[in-house]
Amino acid sequence: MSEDHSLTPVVYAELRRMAGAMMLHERRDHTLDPTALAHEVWLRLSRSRNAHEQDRGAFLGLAAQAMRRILTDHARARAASKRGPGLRRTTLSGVASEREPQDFAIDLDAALSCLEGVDADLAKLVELRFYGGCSMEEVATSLCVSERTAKRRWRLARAWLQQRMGGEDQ
Amino acid sequence: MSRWQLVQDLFAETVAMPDAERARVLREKAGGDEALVQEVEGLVRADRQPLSELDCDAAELFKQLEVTAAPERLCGTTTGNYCIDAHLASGGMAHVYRATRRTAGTERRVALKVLREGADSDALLQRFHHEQRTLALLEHEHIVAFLDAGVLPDARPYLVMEYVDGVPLTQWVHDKPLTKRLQLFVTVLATVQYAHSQLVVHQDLKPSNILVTMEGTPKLVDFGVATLLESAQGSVTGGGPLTPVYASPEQLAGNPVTVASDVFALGVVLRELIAGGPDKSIAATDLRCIVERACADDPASRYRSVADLAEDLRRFLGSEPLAMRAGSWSYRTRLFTRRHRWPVLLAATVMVSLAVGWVSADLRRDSARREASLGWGAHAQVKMTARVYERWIMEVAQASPEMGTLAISHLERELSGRVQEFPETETLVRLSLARLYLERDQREPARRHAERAVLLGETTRGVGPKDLERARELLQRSQ
Repeated sequence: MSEDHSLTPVVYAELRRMAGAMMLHERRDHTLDPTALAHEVWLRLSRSRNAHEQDRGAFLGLAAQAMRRILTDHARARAASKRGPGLRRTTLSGVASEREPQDFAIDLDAALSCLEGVDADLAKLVELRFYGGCSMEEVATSLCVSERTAKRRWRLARAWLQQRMGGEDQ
Repeated sequence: MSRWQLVQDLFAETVAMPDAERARVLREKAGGDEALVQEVEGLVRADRQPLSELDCDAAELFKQLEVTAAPERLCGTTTGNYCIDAHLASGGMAHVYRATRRTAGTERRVALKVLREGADSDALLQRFHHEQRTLALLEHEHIVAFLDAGVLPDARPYLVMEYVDGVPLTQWVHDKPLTKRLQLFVTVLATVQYAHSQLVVHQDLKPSNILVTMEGTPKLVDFGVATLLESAQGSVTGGGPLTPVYASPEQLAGNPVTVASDVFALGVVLRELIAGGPDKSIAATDLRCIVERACADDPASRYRSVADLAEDLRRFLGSEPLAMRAGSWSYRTRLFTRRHRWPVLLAATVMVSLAVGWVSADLRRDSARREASLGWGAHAQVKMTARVYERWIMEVAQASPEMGTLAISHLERELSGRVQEFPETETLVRLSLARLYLERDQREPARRHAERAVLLGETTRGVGPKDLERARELLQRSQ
């Protein structure tokens, strides 16, 4: 597993480069698909590092972690450019209005950091599922649990995060 | 076991339970740890909250981050005959603007719903066009009117609708007395019923989709996830996003959606209307019963239509006894019978055999006394029991045609048995049969039984005048 850690910066840099390229040049008609992205990075890395298929689970985890960082950085930059730091959006009274995507991305990252303190495995699952775009089957394989357990755990995580993020609107 | 493990286990075990059951199980298992109960309850509540953001994944979020240019960007621009004035609100799929239509020297204020940038997947486009078709189908003074549709220069489609200057229902009712609130709600119900008659199930009824204007006129808006049924009794599997607090159990479970799903949502809204006013203490038992029935977990236990719900509310407003409470015995019976065949047979058998059995036992004991007494009339208890069962049979037959058929065949069979020895009982059975046949518009057999019942009534001392009258009336109706 120590091998995995040395992989992190490589994965991160690679994903970041590719995501950036996609956003710059293909924004309108291209869906940025984290799974496809991760898969592509995996192919490149595995060619150069003789990686085995069983490392794929660990790799997906790393890729998801990297995606989380990229996305959160991106959201922070966007939030800063849209308004001065520290300002929060107000809701139109009576009109059900959704949280802006950058606010959601930032809130989710913070909530997930809290969840890591409560249940690190559960946070890992959220990373794989949400940031990694993994299917429940892939999540289950990566975490070495049954798909049913993965689904049950995801529901719990969803409720926990929802509560964490929903109850703290200022 | 760690506390967090305990929370997880309890959540997994109880999240799918109805509220009352969960509360009971949690109390039982938490062993007096109120904080633990609250923690799990909090998670369950969160589980039912809107989850659209967490339900998508990073890909969608990336896309949104890239393309959610401020919706205000469109303000001040003109498209077709429409000048976009202000941004009103945004949902996951679209932005809504206030706009002015200028044609032939006239101006009209309208609402423009524009698909979000980047929200142009096939599924979303389809749903957007679906909303347009649905709205075009509905013409009702309390449903936001569809006016026009078009495409922006950047190829995003938009809908033009009547502009509703209103506030969400729960906000409007804030300072209104209960009667006023319920009256308005009855109007809303009539409107939903209209939509159902057009085979449209709204699927996302909630206070923010029921706007009320300054004049107090309600308007249903946002048919974005509405579903078109194939028939009034039909169902369809819903696929749109949901608002879990108002979504029915079958919607949450992804099961087929029927008008009963809207009944559920309306029940939740009604609960809020009752609770949210200045005079909550009036929230009477009757109203709570109405809410409970509208929000039953099992769709089959709910009001069968929005019209039935409205009817009970009207009765409440008019201080009449509720159909549902007055008939709760038969109501429960009906539900029970829908699942079990035997009670209807039991009812029919008991109706016949009680009378036959009791009377014949009595006969054996003292035929002279029976003669001397007023026959059937003396057996008030038997008669009453038989009538109760008759009512039961009729209720059941109305609820389910299949059960009606069952009752008919059973009663017909009984007629060829010992019943013929007891003209009073035979009269009752024939009256039931005449009614059952009339119910399904089979006049010929209905007339046959009614005729015979009239004859029995006219020739048998034991048949009461009321039953004779009923027999004549049924005979007339079956001509």
